[in-house]
Amino acid sequence: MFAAWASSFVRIPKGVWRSAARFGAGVALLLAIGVGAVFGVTYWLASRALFRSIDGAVVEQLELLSERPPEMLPFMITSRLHHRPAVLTQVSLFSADGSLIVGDLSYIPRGVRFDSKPRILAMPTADGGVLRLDVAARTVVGGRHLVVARDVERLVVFRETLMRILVAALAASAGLGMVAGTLYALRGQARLRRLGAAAERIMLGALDERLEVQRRPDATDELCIMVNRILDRLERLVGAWKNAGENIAHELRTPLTALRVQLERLREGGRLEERDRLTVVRSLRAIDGIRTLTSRLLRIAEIEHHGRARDFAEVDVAALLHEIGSDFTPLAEKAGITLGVQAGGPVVIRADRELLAEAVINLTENAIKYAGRGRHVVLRAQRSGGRIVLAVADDGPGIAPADREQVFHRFYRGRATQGTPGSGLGLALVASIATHHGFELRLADNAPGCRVELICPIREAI
Amino acid sequence: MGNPSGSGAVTRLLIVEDDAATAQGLREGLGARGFEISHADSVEAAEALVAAGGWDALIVDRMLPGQDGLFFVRGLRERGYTVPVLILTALDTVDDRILGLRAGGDDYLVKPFALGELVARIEALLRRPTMGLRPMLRAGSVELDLIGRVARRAERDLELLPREFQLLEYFVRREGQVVTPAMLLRDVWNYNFELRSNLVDVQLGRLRRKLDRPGERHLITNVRGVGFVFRADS
Repeated sequence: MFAAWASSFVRIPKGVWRSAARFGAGVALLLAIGVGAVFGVTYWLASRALFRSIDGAVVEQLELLSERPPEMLPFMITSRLHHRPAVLTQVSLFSADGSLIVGDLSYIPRGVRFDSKPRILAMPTADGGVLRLDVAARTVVGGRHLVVARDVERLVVFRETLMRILVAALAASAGLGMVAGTLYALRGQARLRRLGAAAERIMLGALDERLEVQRRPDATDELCIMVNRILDRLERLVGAWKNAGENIAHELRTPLTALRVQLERLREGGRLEERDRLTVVRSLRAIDGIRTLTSRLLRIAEIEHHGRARDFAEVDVAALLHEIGSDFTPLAEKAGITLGVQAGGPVVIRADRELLAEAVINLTENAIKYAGRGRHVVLRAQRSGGRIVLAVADDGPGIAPADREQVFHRFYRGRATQGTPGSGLGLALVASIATHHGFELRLADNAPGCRVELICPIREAI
Repeated sequence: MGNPSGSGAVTRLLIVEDDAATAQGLREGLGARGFEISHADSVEAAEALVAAGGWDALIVDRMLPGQDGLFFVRGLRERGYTVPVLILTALDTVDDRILGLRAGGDDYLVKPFALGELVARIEALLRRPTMGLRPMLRAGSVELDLIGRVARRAERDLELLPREFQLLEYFVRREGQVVTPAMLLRDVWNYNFELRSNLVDVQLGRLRRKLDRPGERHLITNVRGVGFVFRADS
């Protein structure tokens, strides 16, 4: 299960990773700012609460001593030294040149300013360590310096620990934000990609497909539910329309059969004058035209409406093209066209062989019909990237760019084809066969001529 | 034509078709070709006529009043009735075709059809092609080596392409029998769809040119408006 989960990440495209990571970084930044703000305020409040009373005590002591008569100072300092260890504050009196007169501190710590304001200073100790002191100092009468300090080493260490915890928490929350944000974005993107894939299948004609909806619908799900309802309606309408089309085609055929049989009897009766006989023959031909038309319409409806996926098998399209090429060579020669096949080695795809043959034959017949005498028609199968491209190309007059979009639609016949017989359903049939297989059908300029391509994605062998 | 077996007996056909105009046309059209026709316009009538016996083939429409013709055919087959059945249908999807053959139909013709096509199909049903496992197939001066895939006429190698060989084999096995383009597409090419081009005619033209030398009798001839027939030279 883990392997499946892990491999599901491996298959994610680079671009998706990148945008998910960007989202993750954004989440991390926001989280860091939030955590930083909360911890910063806490830190500031805690250190203020810790140091304010000490600062007060130090400054109070300094002011108290400086208000005494100057000559009393050395005595007061020494006398309070005797109260140790009860006295926490260290006091020293230095002469104007900085030498110690009396007190606990043997020298003036570096960085001291004589402004009566408390500050934290580091003082090297005799054993090579460092002592942190909250120090306040001022100059008293006679240019002498009075320094009051209190050991705050443990408080400073505590404050530093607090700082380290803050930094660690920031780093942890940023990292967590990054990972969680990325995963969330990936999940969202995976969902979007699934929706996109479903939409694409629907576009290709799978009208029974629906968009997924989560158990607890969010705004996107509301939209999906809406789209699904539209699809329900669309599917019903298209179904009804297709059924109507098929029914019409079916119901047409019974009277047509009667009509055809009667007309044949009339023709065979031998009592018709030549002119009337020709009329009957033309009528028979017209009925056969209707029959072909209904056959093709039904066939398109069948391919589009009823899945024939069960008939899918491995098909060597190279062999198929050679077979069709060989079958149609005499026909092409009769039309003055050179028919060639360019397809080497087995090129295997999964397809309904008969339908695929029908599509290629349709395109080949088209090319032979419209390319014109002296031209060339080529059936080609080649691998291109991860796809196999089947192409029927000619160097004939081609299809006007304005007509290209429409040639795959039912009953559409290009301006250039006017005057040539045809139902206008050939390419529509090819299009429905392509859709049925999930192939892309593309009309390209062969410069000169026309090239119709069936682009088949190679499905991974299972 | 209604007497393809050559035994002197008339071929008796039972048409099961509810559309009166079609039935009447078929009765006349097939009657004119020498068949003896009876007509039933419902399954009940058909059952009674089948029970009376003596039919060479049945032509059954799928859309009968109140019942699918396929059920009727399946019922016959379940009772061990082996007379060939040709199914007429307005439906021609793959599913319909498979259903029709599975129900016990021997062939399948989509409406509207040409009478000639119907007759050719009936005769094909009545005269099963020469099958057998022999490695050589002979018809007059034509000789087919089915293993070596070599065709000869009067000791002359015809140098046929694979498709041409298949075509000739199909004709030789149905000597004297009318073969339609639709039958060739279905049986030789395995295409169950209609072509817009006259592929069959052109391919046959090519085969004929290889088959007949100037001065030799044409072995495959056209049957106007219907198809082709192979007749061996004796």
